[in-house]
Amino acid sequence: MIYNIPYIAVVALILIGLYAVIFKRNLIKIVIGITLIESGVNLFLITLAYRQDSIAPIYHGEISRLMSLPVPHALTLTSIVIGVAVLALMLSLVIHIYRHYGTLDARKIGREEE
Amino acid sequence: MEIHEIIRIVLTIIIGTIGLAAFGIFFGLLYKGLDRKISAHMQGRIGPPIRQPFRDIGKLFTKENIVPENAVPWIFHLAPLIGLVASISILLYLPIGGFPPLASGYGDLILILYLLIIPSLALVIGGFASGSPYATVGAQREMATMIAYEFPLAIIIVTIAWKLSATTVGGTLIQNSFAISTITSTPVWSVVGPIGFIGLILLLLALIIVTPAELSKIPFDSPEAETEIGGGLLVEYSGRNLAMFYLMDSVKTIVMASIIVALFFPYNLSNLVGLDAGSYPAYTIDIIFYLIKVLIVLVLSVTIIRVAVARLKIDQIVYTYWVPLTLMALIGLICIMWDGQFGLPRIVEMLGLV
Amino acid sequence: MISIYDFIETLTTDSGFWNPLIWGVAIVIAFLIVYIIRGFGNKGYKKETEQTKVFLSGNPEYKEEKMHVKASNLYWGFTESLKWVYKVLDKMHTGNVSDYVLWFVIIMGTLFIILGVI
Repeated sequence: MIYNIPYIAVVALILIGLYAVIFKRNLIKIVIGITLIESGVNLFLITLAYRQDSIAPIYHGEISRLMSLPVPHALTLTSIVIGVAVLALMLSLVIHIYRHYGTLDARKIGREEE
Repeated sequence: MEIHEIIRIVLTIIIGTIGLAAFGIFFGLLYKGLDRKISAHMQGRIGPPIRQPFRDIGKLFTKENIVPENAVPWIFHLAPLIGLVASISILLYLPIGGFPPLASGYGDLILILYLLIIPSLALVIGGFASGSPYATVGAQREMATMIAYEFPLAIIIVTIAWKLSATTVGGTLIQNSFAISTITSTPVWSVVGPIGFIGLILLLLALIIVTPAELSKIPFDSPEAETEIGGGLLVEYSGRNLAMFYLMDSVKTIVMASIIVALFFPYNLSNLVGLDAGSYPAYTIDIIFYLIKVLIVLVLSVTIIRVAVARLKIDQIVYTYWVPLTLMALIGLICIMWDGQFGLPRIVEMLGLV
Repeated sequence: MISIYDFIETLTTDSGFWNPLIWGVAIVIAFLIVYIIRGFGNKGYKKETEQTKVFLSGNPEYKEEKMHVKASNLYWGFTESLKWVYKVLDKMHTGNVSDYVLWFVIIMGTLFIILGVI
């Protein structure tokens, strides 16, 4: 049971992030929600890499212990970097929207054609 | 594949193309004259003589070939050529006169479906290159008509090919179900049961209604509406370019009627009458029977509909093909799909005759 | 380089076949025939006279911008006939990212329920 706690944490993170994206009106809160979903996915990748009674996949000189799978660790590093790039782009777009419309309410922007 | 095989095949294709071009042009214009004569008698007038389309081509060749000042000249001259060349090349893959197609191992029904788009596309490109607002409106209407009728046509062809590929003849599955030679050797009426029969009737009706739209005849000829937009997309064409479009229209008529005859009525008369295959009386009877079948299909799908109804607007055309006709084709598809449970082999098995 | 026999063989799937070279030969021959037939016609016309003006059936001629059919109006016939579909779709596209993510979650949930139960 104790080995399932990271999975429960992943589900909780993703659900909280989805709640923030769907039901919040402030643009900054939507961006925070997207970042929470990304953190949940990264945690999921690392949790999948665990084998029972294993240590981190780094060679110390002795190779007699079981090691956890290293490929998901590499994938997670790549994913974290991608998340940083997307966060930077989203925040810069939010700054531009605030300068143009003067408000950050998602239901008040983009209504120019009517 | 040695060198003399290749030379034999290439020579067959070359001589066949010349022969089929002559056949397609001659019989296309003849059937156009017959169509005008029959529709005139249905409307209570005498109409032109049957040789009139030949005289039309002769007259068009003596007129001047005017290129308008805003047109793109090379596209303007190239579009009728491409349309007529593509129409002639489809004739190589169809069973003309009851014989197997000339390029019979080298092209199938999917290729014919693609090559049928090229004449309409040549009309559209010629219309856009004319530099006239009437021609642009006509080309836009032709594009919308093409979008409309391709949907039921694709459903019909795929259904027939699927039904053939799902049957077993003598214990083995049929290979190459999209090839025309397979469809003519196992006619599709003989592999379906009672529910599939109703489905095939619905598909045949849908194909007969798709044909006037492909050939731009009333009620679906709003691209070339003479009274509305002054001639539509052919408004700036004259002389020998217009003669090329006229010939393209008549060759495409023969092609569409041949497709309906090859898919649904590929029967030959010479086996029924009892003549031995390969002799000259059998060839003659086959060709005459094929010409009569094409005439009946053309009268039913082009002439009778042409004199009976008025012209539809472009949004009515798109609605007609996308809502009622697609539903009819889909119901035909579902009937043929359910035919597996209640089809003829299963009925025979249930009655204990096998 | 591929061998000449691989170059000229017919492409086959299990349900059809096509050889593009045969079609290419037919196209070239048909093009020659049609070009010869076209050569029987009359070649010339009087350039730069009234003949090359566009036929407008007597309507007045405006300047270029008001006469040309715009590219955005090209598919008018198609969208006009399917207006009842496009009206429903237009109302669904609000531009709000929260609504789009809500649609995503609803469809994914429906998909999981269908795949899990059925």
